[in-house]
Amino acid sequence: MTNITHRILPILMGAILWGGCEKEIDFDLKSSAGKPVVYAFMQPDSAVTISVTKSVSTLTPSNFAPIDNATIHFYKNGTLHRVLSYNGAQQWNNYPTLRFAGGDTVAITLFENEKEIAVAGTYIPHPVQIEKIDTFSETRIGDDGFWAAHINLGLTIDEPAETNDYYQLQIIQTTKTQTSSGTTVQTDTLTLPQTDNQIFNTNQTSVSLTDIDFEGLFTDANINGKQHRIRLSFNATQFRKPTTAHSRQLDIRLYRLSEAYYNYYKAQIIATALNGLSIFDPVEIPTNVSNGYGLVTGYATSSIIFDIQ
Amino acid sequence: MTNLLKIIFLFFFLALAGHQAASQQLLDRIVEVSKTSGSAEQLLLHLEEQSEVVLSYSNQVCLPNRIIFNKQKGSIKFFLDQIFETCQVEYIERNNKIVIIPVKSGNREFHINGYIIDHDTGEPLIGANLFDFHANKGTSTNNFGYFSLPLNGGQITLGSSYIGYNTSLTQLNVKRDTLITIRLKPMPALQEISVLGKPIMSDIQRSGSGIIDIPVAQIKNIPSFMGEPDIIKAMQLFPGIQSGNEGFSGLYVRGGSSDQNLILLDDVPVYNMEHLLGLFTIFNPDVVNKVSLIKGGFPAQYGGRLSSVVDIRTYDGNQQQLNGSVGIGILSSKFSLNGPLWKGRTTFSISGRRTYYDLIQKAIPNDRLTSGSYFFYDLNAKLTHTLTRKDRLYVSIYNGSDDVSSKYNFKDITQSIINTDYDLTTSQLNDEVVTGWGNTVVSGRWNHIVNEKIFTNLTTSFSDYRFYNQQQQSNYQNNDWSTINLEYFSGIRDFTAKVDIDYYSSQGNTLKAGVGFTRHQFYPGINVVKTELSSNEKRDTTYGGQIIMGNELHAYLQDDITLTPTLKVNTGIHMSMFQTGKRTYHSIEPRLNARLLLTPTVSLKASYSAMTQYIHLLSSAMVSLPTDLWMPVTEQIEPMKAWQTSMSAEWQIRPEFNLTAEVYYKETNNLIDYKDNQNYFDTSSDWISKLTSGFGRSYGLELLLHRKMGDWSGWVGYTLSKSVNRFDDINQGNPFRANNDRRHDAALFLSYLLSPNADISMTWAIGSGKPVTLADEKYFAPSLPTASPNTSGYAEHYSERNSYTMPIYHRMDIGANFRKKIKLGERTISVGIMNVYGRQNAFFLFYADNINKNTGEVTRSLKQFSLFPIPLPYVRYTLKF
Repeated sequence: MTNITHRILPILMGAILWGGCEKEIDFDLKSSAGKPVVYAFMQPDSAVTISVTKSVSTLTPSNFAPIDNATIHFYKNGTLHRVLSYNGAQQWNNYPTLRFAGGDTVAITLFENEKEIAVAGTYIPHPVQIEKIDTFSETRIGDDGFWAAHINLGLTIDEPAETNDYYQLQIIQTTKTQTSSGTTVQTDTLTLPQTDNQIFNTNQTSVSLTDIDFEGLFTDANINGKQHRIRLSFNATQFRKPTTAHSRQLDIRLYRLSEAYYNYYKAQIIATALNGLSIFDPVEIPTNVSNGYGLVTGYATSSIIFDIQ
Repeated sequence: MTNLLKIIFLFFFLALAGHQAASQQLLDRIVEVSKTSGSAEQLLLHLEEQSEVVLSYSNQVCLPNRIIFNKQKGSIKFFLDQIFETCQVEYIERNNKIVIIPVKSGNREFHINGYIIDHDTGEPLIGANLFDFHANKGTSTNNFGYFSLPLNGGQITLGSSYIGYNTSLTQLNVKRDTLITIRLKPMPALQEISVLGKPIMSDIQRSGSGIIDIPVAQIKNIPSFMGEPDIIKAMQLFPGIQSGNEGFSGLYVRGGSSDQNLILLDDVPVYNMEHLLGLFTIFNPDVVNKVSLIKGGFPAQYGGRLSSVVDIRTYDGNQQQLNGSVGIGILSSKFSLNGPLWKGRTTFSISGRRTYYDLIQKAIPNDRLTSGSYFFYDLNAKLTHTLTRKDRLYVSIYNGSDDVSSKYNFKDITQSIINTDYDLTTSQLNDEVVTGWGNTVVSGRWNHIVNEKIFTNLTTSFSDYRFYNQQQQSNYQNNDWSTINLEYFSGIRDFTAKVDIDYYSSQGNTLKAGVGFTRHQFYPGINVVKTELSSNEKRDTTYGGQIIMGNELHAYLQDDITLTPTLKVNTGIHMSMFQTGKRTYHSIEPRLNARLLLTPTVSLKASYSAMTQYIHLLSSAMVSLPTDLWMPVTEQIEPMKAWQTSMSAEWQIRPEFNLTAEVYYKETNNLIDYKDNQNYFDTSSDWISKLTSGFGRSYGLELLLHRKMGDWSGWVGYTLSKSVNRFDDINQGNPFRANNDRRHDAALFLSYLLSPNADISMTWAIGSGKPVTLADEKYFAPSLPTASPNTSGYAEHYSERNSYTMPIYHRMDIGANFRKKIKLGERTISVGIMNVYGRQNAFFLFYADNINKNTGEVTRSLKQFSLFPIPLPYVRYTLKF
């Protein structure tokens, strides 16, 4: 979770657990299970994948309950577009022919036994392209205090001015290695260095306290409408080519997210980090599904892939 | 800003300077006389010539034949006082003339001022009472043991009392303003408080309500965790005060949060009072002279926090002889030493406390290459110097810290000495991580008695709280060993200067006024990276949060007025101003306390207070963590404001035995909390945007039966209360219970003196469980398409914040002290058991999966974690010498 808090919490736990104990208790929990849970992720011109389940009581061992006899009405730009039945036996339903374009506004209404039980809506964003990539290497003292060779990446984007935008930057390294049994492919998502103060808020309060990896999430709060060069400085050891590898590629992806997607993602990361630490209040995951939970969202991807030596 | 300053100056100069200083110009004029002996007429004539001031007197003034001045230079008043030492005269200034008129001693008013101190040690007795039975007038000493009481001249009888001391009667033939020192003798154990013919000034006669004075002797008798007496945990046993979690030292007063308490150590705010994450507090009772807690009816002199003031005053040191104590306990050992440095002028007091598991651990040989240790310590020191009868200087220092360290990476390394190829040296590496937190508090104070009516105190202080994490790491790289030091620190640092003035008017009013300025420096989290190569190359890098500044100015004026023999009012106004960034906030906070004596032993009290708070603590967990950050208001986040009103009835059953019933109502605006879905750990967005402000309401009934002295002493308290908050961005805008809203709360503390050498005591606390937020629903939560894999699982949903209540809390602790005179002094063996009957109180609740080993069936249940589920014994040995 966090470097420092991880050092504090053992003291607390060490101090209190030596004599502490746990026991089961009877408690009257409110029973509000059975709400619809809808997930739908829509990229421009891509097939739509949907999951519809139902919530359960926290005391239930399983994580969800299936839904029966559900249909979904899709609205595109305010007009009913398609009505599809949902197969509750499958956790995910894929609709290859159902596609939306960038700029579309999509709403879905979920029916169970012909009764409307949930509504959600989203906007399918256009991707924001990475206009330019520049790199250079240097040897300097890194954030860990050690001298090391660093590879600096500059990614230039033209941030749209008219909207509040939410992004995720992701760099995936793919290494192909020839073995006797064939070619093995290994992909690693690189941890992004928080070297761009403007987008990663690295000068703000308590930023040094925690080391939760927010997986490249950022907003345009400081760069709205500007051309911005995202500066990333990697320790070169992250790119060290295994001696057996014969090729490597870097896949740089810039996701343009909806606000709902961004907030859900961030809360989910924090909830995962605090999972099991009962001295913290539970983290509520936001939803854009009215009368239910989940996330119905559009997002768009721009990507640049290049070989590295 | 300019207008506010004008108002401040207006208050001071109108209220004080205008009242007193202007009328004293002629009498205060300094003259030098050449003639130092003679008759009154001769000396008056000489004084007139030297001062060029006309001295007019009638033939009714007594004129002694033989007077000797004891010095040649002084004020006109000084020489006139010497001339008319045996007469009752009054001086009146008119133009450039001083008129001397005779007065009948019984009709003229004088101020009896001075100190009430411990007969044996000379320690000032704070809050001691003084009463003139004939005039039916009384007062109490201030925080330095000083008093001033206007009385008609002639024969008077002053009664002085203080809890734990024999009441004394002082006979005086008052002919002039008189500076006296009253020495009270400590009361032997088992002796009942003597009851004088008329009741002496006591709590019921004080105008303020919601004030708890806890005798330190009682605090030391309360059974305590690991045998460590704890002031704050003693306070938690009083009505209106919640502890937060069992065993922890949080203070939650009348629905407020822990950062709404102003903790003062010798007049200086302390920002973190916790050792071992709150299992102990930093205040060593061995050095504490006086502890007061104000939870309502705040006098105007206090400000800056919404819920309470904890005012802790330390000992000055024994004026007569060197004495001290040493104590050895399961957790820590401590010592204290105090005494005179320069008899009659300078005293010192020093004490220290330290845990020693780490020392024991180090002393035990082991071959482990890694090790961890923990300790905390406190160090208190105080120097008091009497410059003159009217001037005293105080310097107080507190330093304390918790320190957690772990060593690792132990290895021998061999390397060549720089610039040589063959000289090899072997050194040992043992990298370590040190995490700690602590306070440093320093204050310098100067008391000055300007005259019999005016007492001033100038304070300059420094308070620093810091959390730090240091990591030393060695690395072999490029044929060279390098050492990296990573440091992180956060905290708050205050520099304060303030002046407080007590004005004792002839009418019996006690007027207090003051002004102060604090420069706050907030350190929200700063990283420093230091790199040192064996080739002596060094580099420092600092990054992270920037230092945030805040300037706070306050001024106050309050008057304690006896309107009629039964009606007393303490009223005033506290004004403050806080400048942050480009914005300046200010507030004007009226305060009113009134007391009506229904009978000599029954009083009714009412109070109203408005409070403003400009700084707040960003907390992360249900327990206070040292990483929590103090932050100021900003241009977006406005100050928290509260107002509170209360009414109480007090019955003084015996002088040391009170019954109090109090009702209160409090509203708070601009309460600060994290929005739903926002979190302390979310560093991906601006901290200000994560916060929201809301409204809080708290009300309740508090009952307290308190016996401060006697063979049986202690208290029983009960609280019935409700605290609700509402924020637009939390809980869908619906009201929810405050974090420490517990409907019923009761506590009993009993101490019984078995003999002068032994006492036993017990505490029993019972109350409703605290509110808790529990997820009551869960649902499928897949890995997001752009997320790292393997995060698929479930998410939890809670229907409402703090909508559940933990099981009822109750616990009993018992303890005993056995004292014996030995050659070196007096030894005390303290023994006790915490949680006598092994009650398992819930510390937190959590869900857990249970797998039936036979069937493989998985069930899920709610469990509670208990912190101290079994009886915990303690023992402590203390030697006083």
